[in-house]
Amino acid sequence: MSTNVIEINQLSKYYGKQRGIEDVTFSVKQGEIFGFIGPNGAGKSTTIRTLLALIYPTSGTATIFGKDCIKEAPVIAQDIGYLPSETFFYENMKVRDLLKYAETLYKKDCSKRIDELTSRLNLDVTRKIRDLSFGNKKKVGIVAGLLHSPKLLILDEPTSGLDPLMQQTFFDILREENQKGATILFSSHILSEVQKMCDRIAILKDGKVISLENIEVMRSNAYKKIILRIPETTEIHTLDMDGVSSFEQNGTQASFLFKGDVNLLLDRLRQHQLLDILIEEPPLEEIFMHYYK
Amino acid sequence: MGVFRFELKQYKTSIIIWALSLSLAIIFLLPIFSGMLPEDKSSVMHSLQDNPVMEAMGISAENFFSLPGIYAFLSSFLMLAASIHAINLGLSIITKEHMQNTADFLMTKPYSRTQIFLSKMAAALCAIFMIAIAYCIGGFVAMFIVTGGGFDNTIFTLLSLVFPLLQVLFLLIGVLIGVIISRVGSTLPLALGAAFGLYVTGLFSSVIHSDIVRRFSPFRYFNSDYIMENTQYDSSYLMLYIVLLVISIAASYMIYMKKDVKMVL
Repeated sequence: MSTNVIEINQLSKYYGKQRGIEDVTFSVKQGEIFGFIGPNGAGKSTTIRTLLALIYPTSGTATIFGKDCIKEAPVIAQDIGYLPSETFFYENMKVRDLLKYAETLYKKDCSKRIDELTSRLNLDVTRKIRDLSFGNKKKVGIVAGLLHSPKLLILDEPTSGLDPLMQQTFFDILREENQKGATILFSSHILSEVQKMCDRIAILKDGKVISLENIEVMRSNAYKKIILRIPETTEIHTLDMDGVSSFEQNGTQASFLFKGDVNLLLDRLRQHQLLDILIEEPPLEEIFMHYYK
Repeated sequence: MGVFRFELKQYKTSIIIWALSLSLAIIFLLPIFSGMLPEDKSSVMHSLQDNPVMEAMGISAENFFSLPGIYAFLSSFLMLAASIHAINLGLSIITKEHMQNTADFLMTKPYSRTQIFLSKMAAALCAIFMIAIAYCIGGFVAMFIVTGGGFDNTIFTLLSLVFPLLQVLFLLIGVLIGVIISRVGSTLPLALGAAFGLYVTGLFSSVIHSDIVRRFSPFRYFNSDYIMENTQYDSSYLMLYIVLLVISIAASYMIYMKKDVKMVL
């Protein structure tokens, strides 16, 4: 039986009267990649920042490595790597000096790891932070978060600003860390990203966990959004099959959400004369609207 | 140690500039002003008796026309500059993490908030003391140039120590403001405002002869007339100074420990 690295128990945080999160409860097992997903403002960052003792919970508790994440924050921090959604550093420092500073804060010699990561991410360490682009700052954040080989990685929307190639490298690095035994908590509002990486996910909405899912279950429940362009004379109506919802026809365009066997859907569509078809992943908000009706 | 050294390094240039300019200012100004001391003081002193400007400055004509008096007078002006620096330093060392959004970086490292707070305090105090030491050496050199060594060491030391004492209090005032309003767009205008406000309060207290108003201006806690006459600090104001020092550091610490680090937006 694997032990829990993170245990969150009825955690609530209010900013004055404004809700941050309410009664959030879930746990992350040792060695797993845990996704944490929800639309903007759902409370992902609030939860993460409470775990890191950047903000204090109104009620409830959270432990990391079995230690209280507020009271023993400095001890826990030694083994946590954190990558915020937007990375900020001391603007007038050089990348190398900043990474050195991070290294001294961990009281650990990480120079080999720094060299390895910076060369893999193509990061020029001689440049000043203020001269870096958003994506390059993000890379500095990745190196700063990983340089001390943490046992737990907490990533808050980590891929924003990285180009697809770099995202791939980043995901490769994460997988390697995971294989070496690191547990990863990964927040995102992009479902496909989470589906690709994670073993389990928690879905957050309006400050509450509305679902904890195994990714396999999630995948079988995955909705596709289908948009059809049809000749003017054709009437498709509801397609008349299981798994179709939110059907809308507007002149020559019809759209609906589909859940189920795609082969059956394709067979069914073949019976119609189509001008064009677009199959895409619905935005998260739309999934929320239909997934949990 | 990491945070302490880092902070001190960040302020290195500013420390050097302030230390040099303040010490050079006193080295040049004291001989110039003392050169203007009249041979016969009595007539000038008579005409300056009850002069409202002297009154506002909080120095008697008699003391003004003595070397320690001039030193105290010049120090009080340079102190205004040093107080702006001290408040600004206190403000910026706390608020810059929030303004540059580096709090996320620093506070997720294996350093407790207590350690971070104390390291920052230690670095700021270190900066303040380096400037104060430079100033006092400058003062000593200036006194030595003018007198060739024949001056009252005790009074000189007491007058010189006012400088670091006030700097520390102003630093802590800056820190306190910084922890309360952690997002200050620009620290300098706030520091200027606070320092001038307190300075003018001091002038005002002398004009209306109000001890109550005087308590609101640290600039007037260590009155140079009193020091020159009694060779010691006014004990009631010294007590008030210590109380303020303790309150501001304790309050700053408690607020700093409890405050949420706001989300980067």
